[in-house]
Order: sequence, then structure tokens, then C-alpha cells
Amino acid sequence: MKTRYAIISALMLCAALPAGAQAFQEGFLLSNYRLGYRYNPALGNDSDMISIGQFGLNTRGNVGAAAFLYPRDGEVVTALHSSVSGSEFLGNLQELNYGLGNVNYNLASYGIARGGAYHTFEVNVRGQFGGTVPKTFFEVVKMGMDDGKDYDLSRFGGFGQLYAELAYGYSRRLGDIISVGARAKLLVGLNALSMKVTSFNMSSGSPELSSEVAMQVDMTSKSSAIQTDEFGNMDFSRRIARDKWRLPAGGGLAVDLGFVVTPLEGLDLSVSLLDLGAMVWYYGNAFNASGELEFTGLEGLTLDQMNKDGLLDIVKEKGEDALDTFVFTKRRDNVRVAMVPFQAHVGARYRMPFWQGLSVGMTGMFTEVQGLPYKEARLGVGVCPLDWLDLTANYGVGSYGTVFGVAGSVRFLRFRATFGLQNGFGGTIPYTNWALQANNKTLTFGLTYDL
Amino acid sequence: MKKSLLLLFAAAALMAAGCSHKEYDLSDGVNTEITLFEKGITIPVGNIGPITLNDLLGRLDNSPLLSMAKDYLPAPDEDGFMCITMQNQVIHTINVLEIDQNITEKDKPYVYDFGTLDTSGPLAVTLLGTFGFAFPQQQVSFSVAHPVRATLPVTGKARFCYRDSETYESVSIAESVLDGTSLPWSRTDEEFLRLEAPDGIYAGASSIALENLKVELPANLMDKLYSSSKDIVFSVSYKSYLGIAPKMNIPMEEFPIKFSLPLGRFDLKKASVTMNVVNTLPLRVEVTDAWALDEDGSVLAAILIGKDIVIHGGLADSPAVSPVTLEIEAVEGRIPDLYGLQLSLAITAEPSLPIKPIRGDQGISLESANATLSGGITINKVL
Repeated sequence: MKTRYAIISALMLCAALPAGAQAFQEGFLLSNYRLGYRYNPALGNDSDMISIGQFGLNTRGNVGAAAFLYPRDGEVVTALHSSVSGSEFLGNLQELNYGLGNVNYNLASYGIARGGAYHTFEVNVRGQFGGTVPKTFFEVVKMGMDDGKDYDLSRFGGFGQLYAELAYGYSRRLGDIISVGARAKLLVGLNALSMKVTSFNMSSGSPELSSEVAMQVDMTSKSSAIQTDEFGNMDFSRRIARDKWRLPAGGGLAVDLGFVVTPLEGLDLSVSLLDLGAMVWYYGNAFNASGELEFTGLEGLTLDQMNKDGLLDIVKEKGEDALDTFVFTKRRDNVRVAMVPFQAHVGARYRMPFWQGLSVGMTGMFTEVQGLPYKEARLGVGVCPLDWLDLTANYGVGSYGTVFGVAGSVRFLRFRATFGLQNGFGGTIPYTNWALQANNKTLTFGLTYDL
Repeated sequence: MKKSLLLLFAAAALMAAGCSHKEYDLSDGVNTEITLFEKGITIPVGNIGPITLNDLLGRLDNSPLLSMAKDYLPAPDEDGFMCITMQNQVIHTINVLEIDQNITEKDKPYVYDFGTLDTSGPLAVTLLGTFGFAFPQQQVSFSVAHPVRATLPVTGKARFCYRDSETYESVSIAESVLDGTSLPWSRTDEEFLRLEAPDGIYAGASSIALENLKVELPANLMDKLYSSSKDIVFSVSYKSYLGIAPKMNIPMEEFPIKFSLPLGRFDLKKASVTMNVVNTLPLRVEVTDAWALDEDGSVLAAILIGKDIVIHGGLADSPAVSPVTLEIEAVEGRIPDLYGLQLSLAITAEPSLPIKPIRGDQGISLESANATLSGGITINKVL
């Protein structure tokens, strides 16, 4: 009885911990990792297991905090501080700056080894979010605008999607050399948001500042449905609350495919393609927003109005007038197909013949999220010095420079806790995990129980 | 071997956990002072004004003393032109009974000699004339009210004059001999003569007179009275438009313009405002010096304001456009909140422009104003 409570308590604790959506590559070099099928569905286990609360968080950005924060005379200033030159700040940016997040929260996993095959069942909640900001935006804010020059601020964007994943996996060894596996995933859309600025031009020409903005906004209507006015424009003041548990906002299918070859004793070559699939989203709140803003200054300003309150009133009025020129037109093409961010992995590992507890290997990965690609290659070593301890470390090169990863698992009775960290060099801000340089970071934490 | 590997992994873990950079420690906060648009930015300010003569006269209400003077100052007529008027100014009153006492032969007509009846010109004309204003299209009308039921033949001369500024002699602007004229039969003021200044004379009236006025009263005068009032009342009315004379020259050493611009919060080093000053007044304004004022109205010595600004004069139908650049620069530190400008001005008539009546809605407006902020806008607190 006590053991059962201990199991439940431990799994509950694990489920509550805020602990990678990106497949856990380090697991490939851990001798006793139970969730290797997530990296390559051809990797199975010899025994049954359950897992609850496996958490993976992956963050990626092609620009780091050091582009926005600068140490100066014992304090930290922002990039917009006068002590930071425009060339220094802009030199640290990319033409399109982005940040992405990827979360994979495993509610429950169950693996069964039967008849030479390994079956897995999983329920996950997954999400992706991110945003893009063009360098031109920072150029305008930091440096100002040249008279008569046009500034293209399009490619501003933001997105987020949350969906549940029901997965069934099957793997089998075909003879002594080849293992194959696949996982089929039913995806249930929970909520999604996408905002894409398709056109945003600013120009400063005496005597006016002008800009044209056009954007496409897609929001699911799971939480609330925004009504339209008699002209078919969005009326944000009229919303109908929705029951979150009604029909899903989208659905889709995806598969993971894996292939492992063992040409020599101790050598495994792995190839896997993960998350090949797409989702169909119903965006109940889909609209286009567009407007032309032109500021030619104030009209008929009197000396009496030239005070703080008077000027603020006029500027506020001008701002409201400008916003009134924005048109939010509801779109009818509100069903969209979106690819699930896919991953391609290759790997090789070799267990040393003189000590099975020591293995060396390499991994390679390519992924793309919202058209933003990332790739890396790593060399790693894994060691299992003690029966209850399993460790691995790797070092490699990614799209943003050198990367490393560490991971380990600790066994206690039948429990096996696993943690892993992938990171890049360049350091972080103290007491935070904010990467100072462009980075791809993955944090993984989980607990399994061997049945 | 196993221990070495353990140490290696322990080192790797430490490396992963311990690579934070202390110089980026945010526990003491981040300096949030930011400077935007370092290369400078030009912002359209727009149009200010127009500041018209009517606006300026309206501001006189704020001063009790000037408010009193307002009654004597020009005011727009029904067509909007600035006018100086004087209505029914009584210049002489005499009771018929008093005259009748002097008549010895009551059954014969009697000529009463009034002598010369005169009055000075409007105070505003005198005041404004000294500043170089012109008074085009002056008119003087003479009226009379009397109780006699008959028209009354008169002799004499009516005229109004200006005083020559060099010889101090009265010079006739317009005059008319009254011989052959009769006073109309009216118990209330009735105009019997109107004088108009000829073109080319813009000096304001300093005196208005009926000279050697003699009125022929009918026989049996007392039998011809119809009113309970027994007075004969002579009065004059005056009207003139306002113009700018070539001689106008008004130096204004300390001309304040009060406003409130919260520039301090933006930490500006230098700002310049370019604009087109559109002037429909035939006045040329030269700014020979300028100072920024603080909240107490004191001059801010550390702020330099650009000088040598010339605004050309124009007319209502042909405005003058003068491109002007106003530069504000902090010699030390940054530009604080500004509460006004003190200007040293020279206001003169724009040469070569004709003298025309000016309207109350003529004035100065600032158009297509653009503010160029150099060195960036620094914000060090929440707006």
C-alpha cells in the first residue's frame, strides 16, 4: 500500500513540476532511457513501463539577451540607452529576429513489450509559440528615420498553438540488424492564434509621417467569438463567451517514422522523421486588419492649447482618429491547414566492446518552425558507471554556434528519473535562464516506472 | 576509470549551470533610461494659428485696465474690417428759450450766431496714430436735433483736421461750406452733412468743427415749437478704418509669449522647428533677440534661441510666406520644460504695400511646421 502511495505521490510530483518538445537526443546515448521511442520510434524497451509528467521545454532564438542588454559602468542598460551606439546594437541583430518556444507535456505514457514488438500509448499536450520582429523596427526606434526614405516593417508576426496529442507507437526488430518503428498521432486542436503583418511601410517626408499597415489575424473561437457589425467588420466590444470543452478548434494527424540499423555488434545507426503531419484549424475569429496612417501634424493649434494637457488631448484625439481609419474585416476563409513543426534526426552510437557501460556517438538534427529552420550536429559520450546511474554529455555545432548537452538518469527501486539540458555557449543572465547569445535550449525532465 | 568519468560529467554539469555572466546581473534592476531616434527625427507639428487681430484684442479682456481701453480701440464692423467709431458725440446744446430772450423783434426771422462748435477726434485715433497706424476712408457726419417745426437755413463751414506732426498746425482733411444748407426738421438726431476724407490722406482726425455757424430761426419762434424738449443739440459721428502707415515702427524690447511645453522629460539637447510663417498683415516683424522662460517667467540663460528671424508682411488677398527656422539649444545640460518665449521685436510697415483697411481676421499663422529633434529623445521616466 505504501509503495502504491509512493508511486502515485512521485508521479503526481513529477506531473506538477514545471520541467523537450524537441526530441530528447541525449536519451540516445543513455543506456537505460525508457522513452527513446520519442527520439526514434524504432527504439523500444525490453520491459513494460509507465511515465507521467515528462516535460520538455525548448526555446530558440536567433538573437540573445546580450543584443538588448549591455553592462555599462557597473549597471545594466538597455540597447536604447545613449551609451550603446546604433551600430553596436543593430550589429547584434539579425534581419529578422525571432524567438520560439516549444512545450511538450506528457500526461501519461504506457509501454508494453509483447511478442518481440514494443507498443506505446501516449497522451500529450503540446504547444508552440513565438514571434518575429524585423531589424528595421529597431533601426527606426534607435536611430530615427531619414527624410524621404521608406522603411519596410513587415514580417512582424506572432503565433501560438496548443493541441492535445494521442499517440500509438509500434516498433519491432526485423532480424538482428534492423529495427523499424512508427507512431501514429491523432492531434486535437485546443486553441491557436496567428498574427502576421503582411505589409507595414513607414516613411518620413516633410511635412508628414505616414505608414500603411496590413495584417492577417487568425484566432480560434474556442474561448469567445467576436461578433461583426452590419458592415461585416469585427466588433470587438461584442463577444460571445464559449464553453472551452465544446468541439475542438482543430484536428490533424501526424506520424513518426524510425529506422535503426545495427551493422556491427554494439553499433546502432538511427534515422527518424518526427511529426510529419498537419492540422486543420478552424479560426472562428479570422480577420484582416488594414489602415493607412498619416500624420501631418496638428491643425489650428492655438497658443492656449500649447501646454501639457492641451497637447496630450490633441495627440490623443489624433491617435483615436488614426485608429478609426483601421478596418477589421472578417474573413470567410477561416479554415486553414498548418504543418506541424517536423524534425529529422540521424544518430550513431557505439558501445565499447571492452565496457558495455561506455558508448560514444553522434547526433544530427534539422527542424523548421514557421519557416524558420534550425540544424545541429553533436558528438557525445555516454557512461553508465553504476547500476543506478546513467550519464551522457555531448558537444557540437548548431545554427547559432557551438552547443553542448548533458543528461542523466538515476534509478531508485523501479523509478527512473531523467533530466537533460541542451544549451549553447555564451552564458546566461545570473539567476535567470535567459541566454545572452542566440541559442537553442532544451530542458527535459521526467520520471518512469518499470512495471 | 569510473571515477574519472564521474568527475568529467560533474564538471560538465557545473559548466552548464555556472556560465552566467555577473556583469549582466539584473537583481539591482535595469537602467531604463532610453534614447530614441539618435540620428534625429523630423516630426510634423502642423499648423498653428492663425493668431489674428481679433484674438489679440480678445486677450485684452484678461486685463481690467486694458479692458476699459478696449471700448476705445478698433473693433470689427459687420464686414469684419477693423474700425474706429465715435457715435453721436454732442458738441453743443442750447435751449431755445435762452435764444428767444435775445430776440427783440419776435415777428421777424432771427439769425443766431453759434460761433465755432468743435470737438477733438477719437482718443483711439490719437493713440494709434502715434504708433504709425493709418486711418483710411475717414467719415465725419454732423447731426442736429431741434424742437422747431421748420427747416433752418445755416451758414458757416464744417471740417475735420489732423495735426501735422512737424509743424503742429491743424491741416484740413475735408471741409464744406454750409451756405445754402438747411437743418432738417427733426426732434431726434438727423444727419445734415457728411464729410469724407479724400484718397491719399490717412492721418487721423484730431479735431472736428462747425465754424462760424449761424442758424436762421423763424419768426414767432415760440409758436413753432412742437416738443417738450426745448434744446437744439449738435453732434458728430466719426468712422474710420484701420490701416498701417509706412512710418510704423514699434520696437518691443520685451514681448512675452506664454505657453507650456513639457520638453524636460524628453531630455533634448537641441531642437529646431522649421515653418512657413504666413502673414496677412502688412507688418514686417523682425525678431532681434529671443529668450526661453521658466515657470516663474525668468529668462533661462542656458538655453539659446535662434535669432535674426524676419517675417515679411502681406495682405489678406496676397499673404506673405516667410520660411523661418527657430532653433532651441541647451548650452549646458538639456532643454528643460519651457513656459514661454520672450522676444525682442521690431514691428514696421512692410515697404511697398498699399494702405488698405485691415480686417480682424488678418493675422499670422504657422504652417507646415516640422520639429527636428537632434541627438535623440531621452526618456528616463514613465511619461
